[in-house]
Amino acid sequence: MAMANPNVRADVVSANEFPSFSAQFAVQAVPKTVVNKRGEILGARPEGRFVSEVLLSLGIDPSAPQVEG
Amino acid sequence: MAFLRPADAARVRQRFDDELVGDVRLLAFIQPSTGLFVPGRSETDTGRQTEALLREVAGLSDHVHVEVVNPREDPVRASLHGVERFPAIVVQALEADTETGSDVAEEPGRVRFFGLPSGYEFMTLLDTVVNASQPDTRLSPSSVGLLDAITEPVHLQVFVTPT
Repeated sequence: MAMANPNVRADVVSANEFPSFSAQFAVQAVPKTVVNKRGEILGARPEGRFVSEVLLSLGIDPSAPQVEG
Repeated sequence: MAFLRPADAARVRQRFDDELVGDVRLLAFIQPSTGLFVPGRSETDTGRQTEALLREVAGLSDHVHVEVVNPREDPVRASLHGVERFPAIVVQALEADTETGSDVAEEPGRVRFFGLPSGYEFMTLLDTVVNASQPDTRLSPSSVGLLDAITEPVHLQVFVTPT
């Protein structure tokens, strides 16, 4: 996603190596994705569903028609 | 000690040969080991392993380059990439103009790995290298269309454990 949209930054964090940092985000099971330090997605998803859930956590309706250009 | 078994190294080399297009840099921020054990801080333990792993990966393709930075000696560069935890790896697509050696401003990395990328995360790192090397995203057209709706900065943090 970060490759597809320059507004997106993506980190992969090894929870075992950074336990206190992970605790800040209440990571108890993995994978856990935190969106803008607030929204969270637990577990893995197929690509399309994951993208939709990221948008939902940003308050963007993924079912709304996308405006070209 | 090699991380990759010969058969796995051969598979990675083949994949790189087949799929890499442009050059990619693995920019690693690693604190040198002090030899001191600091309770609760395992970063220095995995730093050397991370560097060794990345050098092994880079040895499998001329398209993959490794640069190791000591964040204490170059805090400005660590700050540019927003790296405060170590080891950290920033995956960068190298543009043609950076190969000329001209002094091009370095942009903050948008894909970062924190910690030793072992187990399944090693596959994620390889996927990221391949993605960064190719001009087009590997996402489906519908996902790319959805992502166009993101017009403000978004930060995704994926917490994982090696498996």
